[in-house]
Amino acid sequence: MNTLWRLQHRLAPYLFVLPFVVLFLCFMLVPLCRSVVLALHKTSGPGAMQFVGLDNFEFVFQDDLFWRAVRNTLTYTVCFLSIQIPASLGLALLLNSRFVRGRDFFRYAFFSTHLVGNVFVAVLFMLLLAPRHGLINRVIGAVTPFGTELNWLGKPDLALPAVILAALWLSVGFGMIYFLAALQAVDQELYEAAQVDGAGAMSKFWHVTLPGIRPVLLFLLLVGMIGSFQLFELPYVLFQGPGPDNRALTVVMYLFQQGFETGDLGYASAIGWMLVLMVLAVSIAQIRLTRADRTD
Amino acid sequence: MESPALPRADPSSGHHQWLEPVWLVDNTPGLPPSPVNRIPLGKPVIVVIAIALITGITVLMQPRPQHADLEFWVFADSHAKTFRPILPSFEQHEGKSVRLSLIANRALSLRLFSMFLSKSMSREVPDAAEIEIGSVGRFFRPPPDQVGFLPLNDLLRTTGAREIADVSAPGLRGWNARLRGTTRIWTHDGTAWVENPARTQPDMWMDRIVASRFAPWTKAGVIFGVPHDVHPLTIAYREDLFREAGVDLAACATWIEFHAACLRFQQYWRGRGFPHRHAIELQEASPETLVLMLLQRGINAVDDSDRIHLADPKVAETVAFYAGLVAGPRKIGSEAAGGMGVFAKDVEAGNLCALLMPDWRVRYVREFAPGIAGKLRMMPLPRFDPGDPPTSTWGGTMVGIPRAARDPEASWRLIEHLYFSEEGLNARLTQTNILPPLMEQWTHPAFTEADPYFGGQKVFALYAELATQVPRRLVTPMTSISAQKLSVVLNRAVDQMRRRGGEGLEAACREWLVAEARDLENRMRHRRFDDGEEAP
Amino acid sequence: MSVSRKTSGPASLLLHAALVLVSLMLLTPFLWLICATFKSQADMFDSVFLPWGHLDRLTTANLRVLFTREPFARWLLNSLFLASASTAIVVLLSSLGGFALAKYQFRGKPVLMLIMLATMLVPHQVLLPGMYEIMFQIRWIDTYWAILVPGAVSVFGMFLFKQAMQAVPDELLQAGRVDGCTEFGLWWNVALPIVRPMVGAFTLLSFTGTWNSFLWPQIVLQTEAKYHLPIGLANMIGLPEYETQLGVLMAGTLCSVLPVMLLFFALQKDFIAGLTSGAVKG
Repeated sequence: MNTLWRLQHRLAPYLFVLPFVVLFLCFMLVPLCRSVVLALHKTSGPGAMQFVGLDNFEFVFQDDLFWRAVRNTLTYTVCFLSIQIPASLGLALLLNSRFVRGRDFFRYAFFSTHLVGNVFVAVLFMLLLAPRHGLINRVIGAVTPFGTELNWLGKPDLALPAVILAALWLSVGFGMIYFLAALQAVDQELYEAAQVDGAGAMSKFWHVTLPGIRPVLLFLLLVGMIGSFQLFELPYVLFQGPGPDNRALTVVMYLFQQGFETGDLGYASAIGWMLVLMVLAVSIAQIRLTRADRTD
Repeated sequence: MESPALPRADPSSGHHQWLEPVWLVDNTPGLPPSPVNRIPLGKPVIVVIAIALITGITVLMQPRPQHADLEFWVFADSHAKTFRPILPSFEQHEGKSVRLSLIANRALSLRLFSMFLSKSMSREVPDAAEIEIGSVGRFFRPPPDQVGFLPLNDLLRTTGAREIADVSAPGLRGWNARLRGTTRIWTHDGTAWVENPARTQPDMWMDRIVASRFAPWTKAGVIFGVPHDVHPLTIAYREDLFREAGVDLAACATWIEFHAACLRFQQYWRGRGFPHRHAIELQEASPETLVLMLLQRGINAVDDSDRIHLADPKVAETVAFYAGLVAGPRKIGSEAAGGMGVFAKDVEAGNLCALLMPDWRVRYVREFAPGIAGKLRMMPLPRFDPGDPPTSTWGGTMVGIPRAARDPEASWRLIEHLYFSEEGLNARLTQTNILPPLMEQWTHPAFTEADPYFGGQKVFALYAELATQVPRRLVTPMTSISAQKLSVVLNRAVDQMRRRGGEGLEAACREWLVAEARDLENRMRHRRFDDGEEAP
Repeated sequence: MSVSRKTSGPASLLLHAALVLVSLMLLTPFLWLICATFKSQADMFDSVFLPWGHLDRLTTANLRVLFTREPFARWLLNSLFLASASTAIVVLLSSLGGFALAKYQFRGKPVLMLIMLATMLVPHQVLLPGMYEIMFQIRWIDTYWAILVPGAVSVFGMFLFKQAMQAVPDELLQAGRVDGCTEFGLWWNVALPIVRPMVGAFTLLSFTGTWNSFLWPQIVLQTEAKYHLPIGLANMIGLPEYETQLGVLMAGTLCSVLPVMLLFFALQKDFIAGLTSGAVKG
């Protein structure tokens, strides 16, 4: 028995990570290699695969639909994050105030929207955004002078704003939960010290709060950025396609269309690799920047 | 998080005290120690595992669908309702059972397509399936001999012989029929049947169906589907409002005249306090209507020889004209408030006073805008050029037989029964008034009676009259992306129209279209396989 | 609770007003959804929430059509199965992996961590064409294996559990080993109870993730009877020629959203505590 115990004691960690390793090999490494191979071919149906070398990548670089998708995705990412992060932080700050009563209710209310999936949000917002009669336009008409004619789903310029609106509704609570926890973990003594030094509210925020929640902020920023680059379900279901003038086309949507609607898995793989490049570039840049920041 | 107090391991007791679940980190204080709490995983995971087990058993125990001799896939609820009642008579006559499956459109076409791609799944193909015009493009990607559907040219040419019981049977001019019981062919000259020794073949299905409706379902001359409909297009308009404004819309023979008449209409009403009264419903960003107009002019963005026609000067002219209809100072069109059929409210309110009306839309207007019964009239489309037909076509469905179907002849008989038989027609009429593609069926009273909703106008007789002039709509794998290209150009045109008016718009459109055509050609070249003798 | 000054009236009022406003903005769509489920097509946009003048026009027809014409009950069942089965598997396996990462030193650990980090940064969409081909070849297309197996371990989950399990005291583990407990037993009996909040949190995340997943299941599942809720619902949005019944669509959305909501409200304390406890370290 003892040798058996000793054996399992030594092997245990390897066995524990074995499922991950096996799955990684089968369902990440192999498809990854396959995707590399596919990217060098064009396909259409069974047995119809033809080697084209770097032709797919050449085409991608001058494919105006792809660059439209890139532009849409980047615009979305920047706009979305620059609203979501401050909004979540703001909400968390509000909730963190000691004056608040019913904090539990608010916390649950805000988080509940995150539980609705991308697809369901899109279906719901398809009706909420209906011009003239949809709920959102009615509210806008009642509260602002802009009237109810905003054609969210029909006007090209309003396509991305519609997506951003739906996405914000979906995720503002998610960030808030993280920020709330982070805020509550900030050392109270630092605040008191700042108070003693005569710091005002703004200064306290800038010099105590922000540095205190920095890890969570960066985490949410990074995760948010990677997630935004992968945007697909929300615009796809909301617009049933790339939207007016292709303004809701995202990179992943283009990948999906090319690979699984048209059937060219090779070109779709090439698009996938471009996405990888984009995400890696941005992630590494952000990590580098924050690490450089931290060393001072 | 508090760290748990460590129970000391008491070696003397032999009892593994540390194995006791650690209560102290239980986040629900005051919770009595229940059996559930003894398990390390916690309530949520227990619940989830329980659900998994229960539902897993139910999922696995789903009964297999019973075997049916013939499997027929449809995607539209109205079609299912049409066909189900008339299946029993077919089953009896044939001695085969038929299962009709209603599957959502996207699901159906994706599944069928992937079945065609996978040789191993070919045992499961249905015996017949309906495909919508927007989804059929991908099926035409392979060369004709590898398209997943069965070519139907022979079946169409060799079955469906028109027969007459005797020479007093009714007929229309140009019909060729065989006298039952003989092999002699008779031709109708408009008044009576005349024996025609020069012919050996009567009209077969191919001749009895509107020729232009095979176009969307054809690749390189091979017909892969039987059309379900014709979908001629007209314009329905608020006759009461137009009359009051002193505008006779039906008298407009060309689009230019139509545009001018609508402007007069709008000026009249704007002056009387109706700022939102638009003459006609037109989409601003979606190229659908633009495509319809181009079809009317005989232009398909991509034709069946894979030639691209975006750079045709007529296209630029049409785009510029359309942009002027939906934007700018001479705008007459506006979108309905929130698609999805909610246009009816705008029609009742008089915000939209004319609509493009294919035959399938009549039902929705009738159902959702009952308040304007009697106030609408219908007119054929105005033209661009004198040679254009006064109509176009919007939408369409076909039924096809997969190549791997077990018994194509039986499938074909099913299609004949559901689509062409008297029973089929009557069943179709219970659900909708969509014009069938079989020309002789247009004499049915349902299509010739006066319609009170349209003030007594015989609208379906109008549709029938237009049906033979419907332009050929071609569908290729590049069709949907060519529509996207048109959308891009249209949006630029609308933008420019708004900001700088129509000056030089047509020339600008031509430039943009040439660029898009070049891009489309690039894409086609990129997608094309090097077919030829050396093809893999 | 720290010493609180007397709550200054106006500030507190403003604060609560802001919170209530935001709550309204976030919760009103839910209210609209519930109302829309019971409205007929004609009333859908006529009245903002309910047709107050004609409350008798409210109907349960939408729900009836939903469950009779569409295989919605089937989709619901499938969703329940996929989400719960996948969650159970992923929670168990990820916590196992996280435990190993937190409490053991073993050969290849740094490499493993690097690989894990890399998989989190690389967007998985690039794998889709390759995965599709593989599933095609092993005949897993249109089966639930293709969904359950690749997702059986979550790297994110492993990181979360690694974080959480670092709080498991080593002395406890050693005591267990002295008593002859297997490593697996240590995980099950010692580590898991301590990180129970994280287990709860991750269960919700995982359940919600699978419940709402769309892209990969859409690619893999082809038979309508095998669809789960997101795909089934998205397919209900029809063509212009064949009109969509909006009320039925909304009824479907409501029924799709309710189960997760219920799960959340039943198990909320665990989830929020676990979620925040693990992630604050960043």
